[in-house]
Amino acid sequence: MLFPRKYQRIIIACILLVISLIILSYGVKQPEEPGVPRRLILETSAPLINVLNSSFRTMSEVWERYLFLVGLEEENRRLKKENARLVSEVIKYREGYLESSRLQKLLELSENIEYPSIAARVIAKDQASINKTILIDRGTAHGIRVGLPVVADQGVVGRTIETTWHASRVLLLIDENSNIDALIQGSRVQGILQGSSPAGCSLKYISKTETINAGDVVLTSGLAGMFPKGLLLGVVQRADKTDSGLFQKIAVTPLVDLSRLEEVVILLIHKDNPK
Amino acid sequence: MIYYLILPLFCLLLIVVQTAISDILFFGKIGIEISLVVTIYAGFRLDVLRGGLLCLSLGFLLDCMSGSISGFYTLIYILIYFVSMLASQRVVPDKLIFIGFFSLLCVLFEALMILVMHPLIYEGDIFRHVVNTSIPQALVIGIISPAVFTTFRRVEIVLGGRNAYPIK
Repeated sequence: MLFPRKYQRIIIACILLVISLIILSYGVKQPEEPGVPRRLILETSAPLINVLNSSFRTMSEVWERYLFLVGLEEENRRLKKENARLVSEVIKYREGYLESSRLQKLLELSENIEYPSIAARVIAKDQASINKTILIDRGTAHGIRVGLPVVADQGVVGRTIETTWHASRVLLLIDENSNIDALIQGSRVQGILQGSSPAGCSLKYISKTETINAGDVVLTSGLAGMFPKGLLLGVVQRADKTDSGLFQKIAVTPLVDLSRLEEVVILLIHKDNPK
Repeated sequence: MIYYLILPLFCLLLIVVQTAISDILFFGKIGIEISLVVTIYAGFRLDVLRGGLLCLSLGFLLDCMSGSISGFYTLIYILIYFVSMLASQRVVPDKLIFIGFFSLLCVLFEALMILVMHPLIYEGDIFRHVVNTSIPQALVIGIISPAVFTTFRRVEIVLGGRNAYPIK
């Protein structure tokens, strides 16, 4: 070694200190002139920094994208939930709109009918069993009695056959036990409309001499006092005179779609005074 | 000999990486001077020639990369290296808490040196700027320096250097 071992550390330290001071003084003297070493270092480090920065940035972007995706998944879940809630709300509103339309029709019907009436909601349908009936949410507490006519906006539904305080059972006109005095609107021929087949009726006791055509409208005649006169019952589907009996065989389709019945109106008429 | 050959490359990579990390993590607002921790480590562990050249290189490269006047950080790093070397003769740096605390003090010393030297070379008052950047930087360095020391010790052992004393 050039220097004695004893002073080696101090001498090297001094040299380093002097070098740094020389560099500093050079830098202070010529701040605008970077010098070759500095230029070389910058030239070498620039691509390195670029590569490193771009790699770090890519990693950072990947990480941020991952985080974004995590957030996206959460947002997606939240939106799905919100969508389900909104769909159910729309269904509710649509249901409300449809209900209000039906009620509007019922209201119009109530206004058109000259009798006191009460609206009721169908709470159960029992058309699959032997007796084709429906259950409504109005009973004796609301003035319902047995034998009251029940109508919908399209026509007659049936009559009440059983009542409790807050519910009543309605025998539908398609039930075989249902018999309603009826007449054909055009020809004014009278008969009895009896329930038959799964969803239809037959008009009985019409002589073969009468001319009945498909499409003729059947109305209540008001004779038995149960139903007021002129309520729509159905339309003639077909009239058959080929049978050997005295009367025609007339199939009538009820105007009311009984399978989609939701609200009905009960006419509070007195049996002895149906007008 | 290999040490002196790879020294400039190592220093360059270190400065580049620490600049990139500082940019990514702190948007360049707080510098993570791993090079300073390396300087302290050199003061504790390396002989005067190796350590001195390492610090000289690191300081000069930092001058080049930071855009400061040449020799500014070179001188500061050399001084910190000497301070560390002197400290290593008085105490055995075997405790992580001591390493962290000493590194924190060195960052503050660096800040003090900047505050002293800056008005001699440049114009303008940078007191607030130095205080605002140095304190968080000192805290960051104080926290990471034990980990950096431990890593260097392990690297030193792997490379078959001198028998390492344990860091507690």
